[in-house]
Amino acid sequence: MESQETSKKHFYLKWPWNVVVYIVLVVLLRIFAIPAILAIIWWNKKQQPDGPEEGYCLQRTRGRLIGLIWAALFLAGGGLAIWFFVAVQTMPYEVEKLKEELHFGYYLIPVGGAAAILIGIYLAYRSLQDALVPEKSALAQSIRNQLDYPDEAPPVKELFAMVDQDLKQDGQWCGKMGIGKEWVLGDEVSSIPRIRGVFSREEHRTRRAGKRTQAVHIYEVWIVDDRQQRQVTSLKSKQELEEAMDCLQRRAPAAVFGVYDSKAYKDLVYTKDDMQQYAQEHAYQQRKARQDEQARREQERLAQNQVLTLPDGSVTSRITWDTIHQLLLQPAQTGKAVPFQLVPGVPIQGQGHTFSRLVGLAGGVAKPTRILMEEYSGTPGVPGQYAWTRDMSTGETEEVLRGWLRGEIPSLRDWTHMERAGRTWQRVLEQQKGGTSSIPPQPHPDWPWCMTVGGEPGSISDPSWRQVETVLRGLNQEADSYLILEQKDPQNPATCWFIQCAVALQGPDQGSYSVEIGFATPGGSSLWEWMMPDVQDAIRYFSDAYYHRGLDVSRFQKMGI
Amino acid sequence: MGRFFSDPVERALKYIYYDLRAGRGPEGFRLLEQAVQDGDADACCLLARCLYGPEYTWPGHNFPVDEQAGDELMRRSVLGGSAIGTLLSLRCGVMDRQLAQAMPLRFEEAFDSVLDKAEHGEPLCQMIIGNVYYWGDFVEVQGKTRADFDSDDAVQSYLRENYAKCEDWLWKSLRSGISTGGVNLANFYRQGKEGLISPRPEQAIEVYRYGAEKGYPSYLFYYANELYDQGKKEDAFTFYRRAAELGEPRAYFWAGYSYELGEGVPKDNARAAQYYQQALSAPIQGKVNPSNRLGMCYYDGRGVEVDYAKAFQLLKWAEDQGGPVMLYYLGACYANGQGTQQDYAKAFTYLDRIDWNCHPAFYLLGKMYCNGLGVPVDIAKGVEYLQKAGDYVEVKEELRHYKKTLFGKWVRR
Repeated sequence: MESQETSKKHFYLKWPWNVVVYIVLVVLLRIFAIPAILAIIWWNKKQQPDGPEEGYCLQRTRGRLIGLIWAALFLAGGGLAIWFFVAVQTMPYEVEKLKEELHFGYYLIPVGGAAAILIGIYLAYRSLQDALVPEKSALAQSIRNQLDYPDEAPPVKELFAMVDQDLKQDGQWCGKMGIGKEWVLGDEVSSIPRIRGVFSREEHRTRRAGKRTQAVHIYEVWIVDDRQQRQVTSLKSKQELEEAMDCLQRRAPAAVFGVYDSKAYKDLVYTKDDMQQYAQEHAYQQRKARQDEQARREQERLAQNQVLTLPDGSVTSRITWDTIHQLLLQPAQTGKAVPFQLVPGVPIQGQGHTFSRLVGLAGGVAKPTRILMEEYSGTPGVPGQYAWTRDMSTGETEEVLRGWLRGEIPSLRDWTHMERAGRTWQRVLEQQKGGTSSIPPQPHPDWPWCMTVGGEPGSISDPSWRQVETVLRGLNQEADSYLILEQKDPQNPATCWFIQCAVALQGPDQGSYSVEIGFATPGGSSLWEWMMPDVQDAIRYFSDAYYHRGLDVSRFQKMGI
Repeated sequence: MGRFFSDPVERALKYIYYDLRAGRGPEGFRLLEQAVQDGDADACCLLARCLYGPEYTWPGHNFPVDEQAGDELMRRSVLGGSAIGTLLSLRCGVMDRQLAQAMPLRFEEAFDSVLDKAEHGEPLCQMIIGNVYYWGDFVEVQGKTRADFDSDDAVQSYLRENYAKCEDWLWKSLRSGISTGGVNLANFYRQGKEGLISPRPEQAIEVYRYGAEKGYPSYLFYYANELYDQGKKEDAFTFYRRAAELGEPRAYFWAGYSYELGEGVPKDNARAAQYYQQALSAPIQGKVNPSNRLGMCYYDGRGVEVDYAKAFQLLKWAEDQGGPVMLYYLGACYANGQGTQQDYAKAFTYLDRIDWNCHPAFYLLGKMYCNGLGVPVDIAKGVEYLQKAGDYVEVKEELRHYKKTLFGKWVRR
């Protein structure tokens, strides 16, 4: 199999060309430019599925250019007022009439106009400053304010990268509010460890003007930090507000949660007394300690993902290093080898294989310890066909077991590849050694995916599952209709794993879907195949591979290549 | 020499039958073993009873069971001229023609000897005499045949009169301090004798109540069972706990259950788990319930530290023994790979059978349907389950991955 390295880049309108295009559209189409601009914004967003390439923060500051519209409105309004005032001076009769009707208001026209122009200029200045000089933007200042030493803040690029990285890795979006593990990006930025209170504001106001009733809905999140500073973010709907509050409750569980302007809010924001502030901080620290303890317990619970079978046949998943250590030392005390077994709940992947069991025979100090790691058969509960074994010292054993308990597989160099022979194991025959085992390995959990589609140039890096599924459904009985989903070892591109699918053109399986799994190393390569009558089966296999859900490889047949 | 038997035998009787609360059963067993070695025929018979199983002594003693050795000892007892051995041999199947010819005592002589001791207040002998009447062995002891009677009515009358004698002797034995005497007494009241004596079940309860008042551990348990059946759960649990505290192994599970539920006692999960563990180690039959309960304790970390391997082992064992299946817990173990290898297909077979409002199970089923884990992908069905799974953070998180299109179809976001 060959795949082209060139990965297909998504095209989109980059800054500042997008703004230029918007302006051109407005100039040409006036009000009719709005749908076109909205379409371009939607398309630009679609072309960047992993978030804006420029970063969330920079996109947010550049988005402040929208303030120019308000600035333009103020400037236009102010200019109109002054023009009206100057123009009316040439008509003495009209001036007198206006003075009569408006009294003092007449003199306010130029003042109001001048004020509107000043506001417009200020808004335009702020918008342009935010968009063109990110260092001086309100967002950058907001991030600096959250740092322990704002004066020693790093350059704005690093500041933005800090927030962007957090949001990209762990961000959850509730409308325009992004909530990461460390940062919250709304209209301003909050550092999650500093959050002491989160308050929701939901207000509905109705205004009547003649026969028309205008309703205004306010949905805001008010975050109060440990310096009693408030960061406010406006959201569009009640759902967004609820989602944001839910998410913040998970990310900052020790903070006080409530409603804006409630007693809890006022206590937190307006307390000036040192003693009260100390008491509030103390209560927060206590809640945080409780939450941390709960999280630790939960982590401990989740860590119990292996079953240790002890020499007496009893089992436990409370595996401590002390237990393992005792096991390894026991032969020195009793003079007998001590068997034990570790079975992970979810098979462990590593070194191009998937393992479902580790069996040990501790030999103590005098004799080496034998470790056998059994490969996963692909089906839970079915014994694996292959295993790797090695005799090693107690020190090495400790290292291997520590890794195994962390879900890591040691390098298999110097290990012997074994094959099941009835109830025991035998060394894998030499001719099989050149290739790989007779069942295909699982895809690597950390290697990136790329997709090659027959009839299309290049490969697509990091394709989404929807893209893969769409291509699979579109496969037909044509020579160049195929799909290859491949991953390469970033450290060694010669090693790769792939799953490919095409529709059989002829033969008894004509019309069936031929799904092949391949694994290539510098030492050799192997290919396994299984014919599937239905595209749904193929989709299921690709999906299991794509999402690393443990591919059932038991029915794949090895092919000669 | 004791009043009725040799000194070691009398001490052993005290430890094994009369003073259960002392917890000195094993000491009594050793005394009997020693006496057997010294050639004491009564000790042979009593040791044989110990080896026949807990129903002949008390489950709390936890004596080893070896019926073959018991039979051998019983033969030695008969041949050694033990009166109690001769009578008891009628009940354990060792008496054959060869033994009957070789035994030095005739049944009638043995009966008279035991009766004499019973009349002088020896509780075990009172129980043996009561049992001779209860089981109908009096016919063989007295050497009666059909020819001795003029009519069937005379036979019926003879039988009725003798069966009825068991009541008095078994009451005497119970009052004298041998709790096992009351077992057949209660059976006598409960079942009567077909065609001869009518059942009186209310009297059976009276036997249990009397035994419970005397503080016999097994009677506290029996009486608690009666109260439980009558719906007086709180009272029943009180008796179960008292029985368990006195070492009655059949009450361990119920005592643990009462601590787990907090029925009539402050909730104490640690104590509950301890009782379940004791029930599992005890020489009793019904272990599926303590196994299931302890499995759940290990899974949830109630009273014990979370240990999924132990939880799964206990829950699966109970299922394999034909006990009630803990559908959610086993399903969760398979779905999450807790205590066993992750196997969504198996998890589904358990979770899909849940027909009550079990939020965590609905969450797992929702996830499995939405992601095609163990079942074909069906996002609509998965979302339906997730929506039934309650207002939990993880449920909301999972639901956020899906949205409804304009055409009403659920799709992944």
